[in-house]
This record gives sequence, C-alpha cells and structure tokens, in this order.
Amino acid sequence: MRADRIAALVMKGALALFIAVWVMVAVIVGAGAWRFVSANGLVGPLVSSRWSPLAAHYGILAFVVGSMAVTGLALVLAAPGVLALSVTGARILRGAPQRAFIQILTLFVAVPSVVYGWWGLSVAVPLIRRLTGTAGFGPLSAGIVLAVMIVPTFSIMALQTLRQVPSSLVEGSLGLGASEDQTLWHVILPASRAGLSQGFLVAVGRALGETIAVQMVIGGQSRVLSLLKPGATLTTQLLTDLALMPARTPGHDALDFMALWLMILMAVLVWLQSRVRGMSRG
Amino acid sequence: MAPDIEVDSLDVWYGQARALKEVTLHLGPGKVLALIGPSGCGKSTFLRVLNRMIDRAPQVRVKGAVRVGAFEVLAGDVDVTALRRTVGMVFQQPNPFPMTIFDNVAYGPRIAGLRQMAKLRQTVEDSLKKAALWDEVRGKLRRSAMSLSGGQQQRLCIARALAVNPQVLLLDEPTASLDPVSTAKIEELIVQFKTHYTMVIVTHNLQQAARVSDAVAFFEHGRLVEMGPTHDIFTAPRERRTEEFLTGRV
Amino acid sequence: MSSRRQFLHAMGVAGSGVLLGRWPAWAGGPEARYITIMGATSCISYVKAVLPEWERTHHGVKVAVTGGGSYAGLHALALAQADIAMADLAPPGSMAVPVRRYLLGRLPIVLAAWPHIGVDRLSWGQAGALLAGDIVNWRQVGGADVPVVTVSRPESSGAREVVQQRVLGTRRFSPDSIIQLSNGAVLRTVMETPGAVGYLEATAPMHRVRILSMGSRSFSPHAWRLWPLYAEPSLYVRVQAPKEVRNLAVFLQGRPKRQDFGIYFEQRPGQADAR
Repeated sequence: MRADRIAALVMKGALALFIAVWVMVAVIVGAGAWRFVSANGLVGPLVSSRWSPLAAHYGILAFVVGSMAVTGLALVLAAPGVLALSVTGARILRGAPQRAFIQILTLFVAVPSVVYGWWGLSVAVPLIRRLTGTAGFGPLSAGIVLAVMIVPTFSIMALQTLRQVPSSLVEGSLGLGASEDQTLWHVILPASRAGLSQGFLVAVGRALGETIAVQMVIGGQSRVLSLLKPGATLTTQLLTDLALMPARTPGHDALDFMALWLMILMAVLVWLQSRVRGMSRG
Repeated sequence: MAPDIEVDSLDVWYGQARALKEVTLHLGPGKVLALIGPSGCGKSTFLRVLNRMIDRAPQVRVKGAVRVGAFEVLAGDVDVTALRRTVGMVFQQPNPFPMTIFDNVAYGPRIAGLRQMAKLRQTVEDSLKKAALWDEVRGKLRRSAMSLSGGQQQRLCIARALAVNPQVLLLDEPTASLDPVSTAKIEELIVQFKTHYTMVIVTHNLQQAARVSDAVAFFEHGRLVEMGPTHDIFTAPRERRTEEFLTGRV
Repeated sequence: MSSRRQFLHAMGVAGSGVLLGRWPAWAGGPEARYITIMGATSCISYVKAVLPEWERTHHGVKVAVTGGGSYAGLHALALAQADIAMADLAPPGSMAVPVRRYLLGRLPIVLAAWPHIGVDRLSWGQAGALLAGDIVNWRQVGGADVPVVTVSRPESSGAREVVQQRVLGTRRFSPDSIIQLSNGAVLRTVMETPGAVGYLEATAPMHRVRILSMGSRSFSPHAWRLWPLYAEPSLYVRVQAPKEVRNLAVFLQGRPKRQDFGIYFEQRPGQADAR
C-alpha cells in the first residue's frame, strides 16, 4: 500500500512538473509574442516576407509558407515509402525476418537528425543540383531530407497499426473473393485509419519541428516559395537568428512570435485530424 | 444450381503436424452437412480447404482431390477469386467491416466490379432480406455495422456472403458466440436456405447439428470416422467412437 | 479531495522547482566561483584548448565555454549572464555597460571559390559585385562559363560583418545566397557546389577550394600581416569584473597557441595590455 502511495505521488509529481514546465514555456512564448504583436501588429508581419530584424522588418510570411511547403512536400514524398515499408513489415514478412525488419526500422528512427542533414548535403543536394542545374539548396532538398527522416518513424507506427488489424477482417474480405491488394486498400487501411492518422501527426510534428537537418540544405533566405532557390522555415530562421537576437533584445520577441506560429500550425493540424476522424465515424 | 462436393483422400499438414488424414466424402447438391467432433479434430481445417482459406496458414501442405461443382479446388490453376465467390464463408465471431451496414453488404459486389448504385441498392436490399435482417436495419443503412447487436452482426455477415451470389455456404460455428434467440434465428435461416445452397457447418452443438443438417460427419484426430444421414448417425451410429462421442463418453 | 490537495501541492513544488532552476543565472554575481565565457565560435576551440592550463592554477573556479555568436556573447556580457564575451565585432553602441577589450589578434578572412572557376584573382570591386549578385557568371570576370552561386553566413556572424563593411560597403549580399551557419558548412558548400564563392575564416585547412587573391594581395599564413581582410577577435570583460575574470582574460590573451587556431598576432613579449 505504501509503495502504491509513493508510486502515485511520483506519478502526480511528474505530471505536475510536466504541466508546470509546459505552462512556463507557453507563458514565455506567449508573453514575447504578445509584446511583438502590440509593437508590430498581428497581420502586418504575417503578410510580409521582408525579414531584416536589425532594421526592424519582421515579415515572417516566407517562413510560415516555407514550413508548410517543406512539411507537405516531405509527406507527399514519404507516403509511398511509408506504405511500402509498413505493408511489407506488417502483412508480407513473418517470423524472424519481420522482427529483423522492425528492428532495422527502429534503428533508423534513432538516427539523429544532423545525420540526415549530412545525408542531405551528400546526396539530396548534389542530386537536385544535377537534375535542375541550380545550386541544389532549397525547400525541395529540404523536403527530400525530411521525407527520408520521417519514413522510419511513420512506417513503424503504420506497421504496428496494420499488424493489429484482426485477421478475421482480412479473412472476411478474402472470403468474398477479394484479392490481397483489394483487401489492403478496402479493409486493412480503412480499419487502420485511427492509428495511421496518429502516425501522420507524429510525422508532421517531426517534420514541422525539424531544424538542423533542414537548415543544412535549405539555403536560409526569406523568400516566398521557390522550391529550388534558397528558402527558410520558421524553425531554421529561429535557429539562425537566435544568435543575432538573444533574449531581452528588441528583436527577440519576433522569435517568440514565430514559435507561437509553429504551435498554431501544429494545433490546426491536430484540429483538422480530429475533424477528419469525427467525419469518418459519423 | 447448387453444386455437389466431392473430397478424395484429402491430407493436410501444418509443418510436421498432420491435421487431416485421407478424408474422403461426398455431399449431394443443396444438402447441409454438419461437421462434429472434439476440438482440434480437423473440422475447421476441412472447412477452410473448401474455399482455399487454408492457403493463409504458414507452412501448410494439402494433398488429395477436392471438387466443388465444376471447381477442382486444389488444382494449381483454379481461379481462387471465383471459387471464393462461389463458396461463401461465415465465421465463428461476427466480423463485419468497420464501415456502414450498406458498405458491408455492398463490399463483395463492389470488389467484383459492380458500380451502378441502383443495382447495388437492389443487391443490398435482397441480401439483407434473405438474411432476415432487412426489417431491423431499413432506414439505418448508413449507420456503422458496429452499432448492431452480435446476432444482427452475424446475420449481416450472412447477408454480406449472400450478396456475391454464392452456391455453397461454409459456416464455421456461426452461433458459438450468440445468445439462444439469435442462435434460433440463424438456424432458421439455414433451414430456409436448404436446396438453394449446399452448406457445410461446423458446430459443437449436437442439437443444432440434429436440427439443421441432412448429413453428419464425425471427425476425430484428423480422420473422418463416420459420415451418414443425420437421423442414422444420431440414432444408430455404425462406429463405436461416434456413439461414445454422441453420448458424452469421449 | 485529499488527492486534489496533494496534486496542487505537487504543482506548487514543481512550479517553484522550475523557477528555482533559473536561480543560478540571477545569483551569478561578481563573487561567484563560476566563470562563463560566451560568444564567437571562431574563438571556442582556442579557448577550450588552453583553459585546462589556467584551471590547474586556479582551484575551485569552474569555467564554462559556450558559443552563440559574437552578438549573443556581448549581449550576455551586458546582462551579466556571461563574464567574458568572445567577439569578432565591436560592441554595439547601445551597450550600456563599460567593458574592457583584450585583443587576441587577427583572424584573416579569405574569399574562397569552387576550384574550377578559372579565376585566381579578383579586384575589390569584382569581389563586391560577385557577393552582391551583380555578377552572375564567372565568364564576366574572365573565368569559366559557370553560373555564380554565393555562399554567406547569418547576420550574427562576425566574418559576415567584416565582409559587409570592407568588401560590399553599402551593397547588400545577394538574396540568392546560400546561408550556412558555420565556417565549416560554408567550406563544404563552396567545395562541392559548382560556381560557388564565399568567405572563410582562415582557420581550417582550406585545400580543395580556391583561395582568391584580392587586388595585388594573396593570402599566406606567413605573410598574414599583409592580408587586408580580417576580423579582430577579442575578449570583452566588464570593467568591474572580479580579479579572477580579468586574470583569465589576460591569460587567454597571452597564449601563443592561438596561432594554431588561426588567430595571428605579433610575437613580441609584454603585449598583454588591453586596448
């Protein structure tokens, strides 16, 4: 009983600490963003892409668009790979090969993102350079790097979900004369929708929040969407300008404003996802 | 129109374990065969050979000859898709897909390529009527199949199987998870379906076998011990083992 | 209800824990036995290399070295979050705290280009036009027919500031420049990207890129005094800093080893006076 009480206390303490830290982050970011909005307005910075913080130009449009574009691109590029890997791992391989496959995927999840950035410099950038004749640095390369990065994470979550589809459903479909492929598309994937959208959110979160791997290949300029010329995302610009505008300098609030927009983008996604799931249930 | 079923020297191995040994039997068209026997005797294995669902088992080997109507079931070049459309299957646990009632029944026809909405609607309505579910779900076809009771779900699965116009129905303990009222409804259906469909039903419920079947096959340790008309088996079994099983002295 | 009280209690404890986590930053007054050095990344390797020597003779003093760039270092110094700032830049005029500067020497900055551009030498005007994006093909300066790709660093970089002031003047860096966060990343990008040109702190080995001559001058480590483009990495300390801190700054200013890290200085004795 005593051990139970202690365990409960530890759990509550951990939860409380988590909430406290989270609230503190929210307050710091929120306060900075509030100061920024009161000084610069809410809409102005959002519709301008003129970013020159030392000259007090704080247009973040290019970064918001950049974040969305790079993330969207990564998801589109990753989708076929995720589908192939998760279906292979969940429905084709069995026994020892399946376990090995999952272990290898897990290993890739644990690769630090700077390594993916390095891969991007060594492979993605030269590839884009050769294909397009540009310098190779830009959102397209960043999208490729992110795609490669989220494939293992997304695949492993998708794989676990697909594996949990009861075989009675699969046999129900096969028993009606459906092929394996038809069963996959019409029964297994729809039945896995909840888990898949969970994996999707994690993948989006990782892509949206990724900084260093993107920074290494995106080029770092405030430009509204050209896939092949240097661009930037909210996170990469945060990283770049943190050194320029340390805490308690005038421009620093702009960084809080950007961080807030990252949170807003993520919140919108969570909301969209809950709507999609609600609709499919109704 | 309902086909006959002929099985000759059927052997099935799972890896090293032999699940069926030299099973030979014949079932006339439109008849209902009940498979009885202790757990693990090979009844379900036998059933799953008839629509080649057995293929899904890892390391399985099947030998012998099985004919369902015109289908040489075990031939290498048999069209498994066509076979499975002809030989429908209903499982022990109701397994409706997590979609609407309508989509569940329409699944088979859609898979087969039917796209016209009017025809789909007609097929769904006919199938639900045949499965005696129509009155309970009309006007609720857009609801999730998961909102139905267990007995309703099982009848939905029967309707789903009927929607592809099968000629044979395989029923793997279809009432094992149902209450007595739902069980009675399913049994009623089976009796109604006689002569329209050739049926093979696995059951642990001997009264059920007696109520619905024309013939009974008793399996033990992978062997077909005895098969005969239902009345004969229950009143005058030829084999001692059959009698012991039927009287509970296993 | 008791569990809710427990929960609130735990919240309070956790909350104060989080707040207390910031305590050392406020408490790090002049008497602290901790010394924090912060700022330009170009100085970090050197400082870290010689620190153990100083720490051996100053028991009980812990020194932490972090990067963040020249701006961040100077800013932290002004806010008393750091005791010594490393900077390639002069402190901004807005800095209210009086500081003392300890010049470490010169950090030469060179223009580096992709090896196959077919050009060895640029005039200052050409260099500026290249970095500003006005010259778009190496052909325009007598080289190969390769488009120019400019590589630069963020605004917080001291090297960028030097190039901005000495080479570009009032012009701005090309908006198509690839921005890389570190000297090493610039080096790699210039090395691998056809037609690339950028500027490097002459610390790292620079083979596999072409170091361009400027006007009549060519960079050579032995004749560093003649090379016209350089930053002046320095340490900054608050005037009221405790003796230990000033002592450390003087120590760091006096180690000849910094030449190994690309910081060049006149090798004569007794030059440790602050400017």
